Amino acid sequence: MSWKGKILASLVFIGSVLFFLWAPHSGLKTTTYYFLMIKYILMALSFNLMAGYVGYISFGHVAFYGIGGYVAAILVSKTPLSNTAYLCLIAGPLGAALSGYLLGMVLLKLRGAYFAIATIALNEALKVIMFNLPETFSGGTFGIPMPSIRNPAAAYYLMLFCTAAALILVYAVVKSKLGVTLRAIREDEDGAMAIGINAPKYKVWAFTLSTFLMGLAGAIDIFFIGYIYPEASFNIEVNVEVIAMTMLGGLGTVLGPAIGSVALFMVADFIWAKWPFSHLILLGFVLCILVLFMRRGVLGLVEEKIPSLRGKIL
Amino acid sequence: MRTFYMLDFTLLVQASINGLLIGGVYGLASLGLSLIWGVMKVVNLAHGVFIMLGAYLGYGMYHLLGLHPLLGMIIAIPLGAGAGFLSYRYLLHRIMEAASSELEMEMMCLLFTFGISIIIYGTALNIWGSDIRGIPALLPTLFLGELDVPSSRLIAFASALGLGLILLVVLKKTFTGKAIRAVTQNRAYVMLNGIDPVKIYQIAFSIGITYALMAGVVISLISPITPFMGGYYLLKCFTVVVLGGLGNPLGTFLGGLILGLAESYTSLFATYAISPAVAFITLILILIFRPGGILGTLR
Repeated sequence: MSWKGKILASLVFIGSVLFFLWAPHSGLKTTTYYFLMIKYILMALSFNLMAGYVGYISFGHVAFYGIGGYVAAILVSKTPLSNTAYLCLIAGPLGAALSGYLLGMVLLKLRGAYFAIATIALNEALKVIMFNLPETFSGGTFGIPMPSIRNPAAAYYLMLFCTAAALILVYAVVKSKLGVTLRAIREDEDGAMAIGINAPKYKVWAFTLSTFLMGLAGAIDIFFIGYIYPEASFNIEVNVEVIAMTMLGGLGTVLGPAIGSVALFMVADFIWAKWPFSHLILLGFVLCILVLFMRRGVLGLVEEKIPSLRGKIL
Repeated sequence: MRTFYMLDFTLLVQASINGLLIGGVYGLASLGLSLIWGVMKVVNLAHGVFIMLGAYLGYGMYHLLGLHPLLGMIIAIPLGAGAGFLSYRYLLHRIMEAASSELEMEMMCLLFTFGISIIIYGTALNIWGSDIRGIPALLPTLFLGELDVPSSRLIAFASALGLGLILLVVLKKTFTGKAIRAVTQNRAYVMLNGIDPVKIYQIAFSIGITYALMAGVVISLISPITPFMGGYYLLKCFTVVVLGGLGNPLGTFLGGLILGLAESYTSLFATYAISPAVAFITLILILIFRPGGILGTLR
């Protein structure tokens, strides 16, 4: 990227951070709106790291969002750690990353459709297990109410900070040698192994990082809402939204998930408010049309139409 | 946890009967998924919502027209064949041809069928809401000594067996069926023999969708009907297909019976609530340790 491009990119980045700092100025309603928007950006970044750069589409990625939330929630409500809530907040994503590391070692042996199905099954199995664990431990079907730790404003700024940091982190990873390695695995895993890349190791580390970000979103979310229950934490519809958002922006680009999340969130929220459940139909159509006509998303289309930008889009 | 004295012989036989009857229906529900997956290497994530649509067909037949739910087949067959033919011809074929590698094709088809399933699911939620509907037992329960066999489950099992046999005969005895099996093994040789694999894919996809709808009609006899049932049955079908191997109707049917028995015994020995998790955990374990299925693939 030329120095002009770098300056432009930093200006846009700083401008959008400033916008989001200013955005929740008028009460809880706008805070909630922009909080959800940023949360989807973080989740789409996490999903894109696996789907876009390593080529493993996880249809049950939201499971790690649930794990992150539940680890934090159980620590907050069932252990003496509750007066040091920030420790629980860190423990959430760490728990998600640990489970991501262990499950990744097993699940990433599967490729393509088999990986996709195994992740769906993982999410559903975790949901059923959370439903059936003893209520004294995980709250069972009704979940865990945690009114004492609820703090929407703090959670909003924390989520904003973490998402901005995650965006920079993903950019750094993509530009580093690790990013090149991951793309090599995406293009041809056997070929990458043949030239001496330890693909299983890199895949597991990418999965760990991805699940860490997902767990982070889940853990911050419980501090925003002050409540957690299995149906919302392991909700496959959230995964649908994240997939459609990432695809819309452009799979395998740094900024694509962020652009797609903001655009689709606004449209889906508008439709959901007028006609509940119709936003699902819209998401389905978006997904189908993207696969049929624009499989590289908006950024891919821009790159195609404006040749001078080729290879310069993040 | 149940105590030991309850595990007498009658209860065990009763659990086995329940498991086998429901397992046969699981087998039928998975035939379409298994066929499309085996022949076209396309994992149809919209399989579950077609089962759901079939169940609403059976429900509508009974409650709107006052006929037997199984007569829903009369609508299910042309609807499934038409939907399968059109969606393959105008959409899926495009996606499969545009992909540069087999992995990309697999991924794009996953995303596309996922999109289709969300459209149908969202539409169903809008039309029918999330109410739980159902068809009452049409015939009284049969009592065999100390055992009781719900007759609707018996009818569902018999229909499943019949439909499974029809598919088996079509695949083994007819020319089209032989061509479908041949495409699975070697696409190039099939083309050398003057058979257009695209036509065979069309037929296989239509049969797969039709079987999903027909399975839904059968399921409407024995199961509560909601828009959410699609996802629930999709995952069961995945488990059945990876248990039984791809594209092999006999294996798929056996996989269904195994899953039915496993669920039934789980609710007998542990609790009923945990039995869905058993299916999912079985699925993950088989995918990791025996990805070819327990019984092998289509031959």
